[in-house]
Amino acid sequence: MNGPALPYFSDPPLQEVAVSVQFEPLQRLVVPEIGLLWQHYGSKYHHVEQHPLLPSKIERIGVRPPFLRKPTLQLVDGPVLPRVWFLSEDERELIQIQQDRFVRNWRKLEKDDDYPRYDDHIRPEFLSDLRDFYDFVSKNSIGDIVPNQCEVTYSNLIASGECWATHADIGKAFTAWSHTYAQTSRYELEDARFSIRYLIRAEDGDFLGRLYVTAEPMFIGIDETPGFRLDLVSRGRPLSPALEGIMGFIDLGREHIVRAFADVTTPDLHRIWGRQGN
Amino acid sequence: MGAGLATALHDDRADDFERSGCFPDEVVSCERQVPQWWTEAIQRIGMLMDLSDNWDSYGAKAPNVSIAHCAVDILQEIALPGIPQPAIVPTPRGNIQFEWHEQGIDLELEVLSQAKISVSFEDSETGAEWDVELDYNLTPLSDSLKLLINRRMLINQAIGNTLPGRDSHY
Repeated sequence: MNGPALPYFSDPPLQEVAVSVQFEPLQRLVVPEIGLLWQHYGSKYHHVEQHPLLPSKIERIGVRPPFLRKPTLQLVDGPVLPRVWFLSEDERELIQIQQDRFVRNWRKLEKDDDYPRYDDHIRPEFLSDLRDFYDFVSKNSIGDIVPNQCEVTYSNLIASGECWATHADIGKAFTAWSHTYAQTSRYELEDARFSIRYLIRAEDGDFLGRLYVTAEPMFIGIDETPGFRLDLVSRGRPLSPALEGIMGFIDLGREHIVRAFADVTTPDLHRIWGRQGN
Repeated sequence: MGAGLATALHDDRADDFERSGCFPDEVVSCERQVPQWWTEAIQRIGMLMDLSDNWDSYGAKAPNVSIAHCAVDILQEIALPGIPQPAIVPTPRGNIQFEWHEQGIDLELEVLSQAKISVSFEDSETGAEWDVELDYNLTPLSDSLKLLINRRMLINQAIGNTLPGRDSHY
């Protein structure tokens, strides 16, 4: 995506960043291989956890979104490989593996944790770990990795403060909500949330995927400070089946997220987060 | 294969207001409701998991759990309002196929993987006929399904049912 330089925030309200690739299920990736994979990563990841499987997700166009009341199908054919987490020693970083998914997360655990930056850390670490995963799958004849979706998630926690005080001030935090409406409405606003879905297209107009932006009111900590969780998720097909194609969508998706974050939040908050440049 | 099967309806809306159903059937939310035949379709897909290799005695592969999940995902997305219940059959290469044969239309959709389907379309009214492999843009498939649904509506109207969409499938 060409355009003006990306907005930069020296102190963004980021809580977590996840980058992932989904591929056709590797049927031979089972429990013994997961043990070998953990060894393959050496001392980088110290802890292992098991979690329920993530459902597969494909962004398609020409069809409707899935049902609101989600009918779920649980088919069990012998032991199921769970989603496995490999966590770093300080547990701030982890990779998640299941038969059709590779995910790498960074998360803020302490208030003073600094976001380590996409170009400096998030992207190269994801690519390095994904390359190792490709090597492992190849060396152990587990199968061919056929990627079909990439996903980037930025999860923010925006606490109330000098710009806004209660959830009724949603218009002071987000441009996507009119503050004038809250002031002129005959009803006393208690809180509000929003969910926006954008299409992501290639320069030639070809459908690539979608960007989801959702804001949800919440309370933070024992003093119940009002806050909003703002999630931005870009999901779509790799630009090609190769690693470059995967990173191509991930870079594009992240770019959309950064621009959308700047678009839906207010200049007052941008000042607090140290916005620089465009 | 002896796969176990369970289905459940999960509602992820925080507030499910009591609604009186005052909107006409033509008004369809972006987020849709489940067709009445959904459970039967899911059970049929589950039954296919009981097949073993060589189920047709000509060396056919049995569908696996992974392809069953793909089939459920794709069926959920193409289940437009008024869509008739498809026949659900296994294919010799271990995939699952949805079929509609009515109103002069023969439409077959084979689920190949998470991101790939194969579609075969024949319309005896217009002579149109095509086969295509689709991945992320399913517009040709949904256009065919809309054609099928519209023809059903016209038939229903012709026999006096003037409430399109209120058939046994929803």
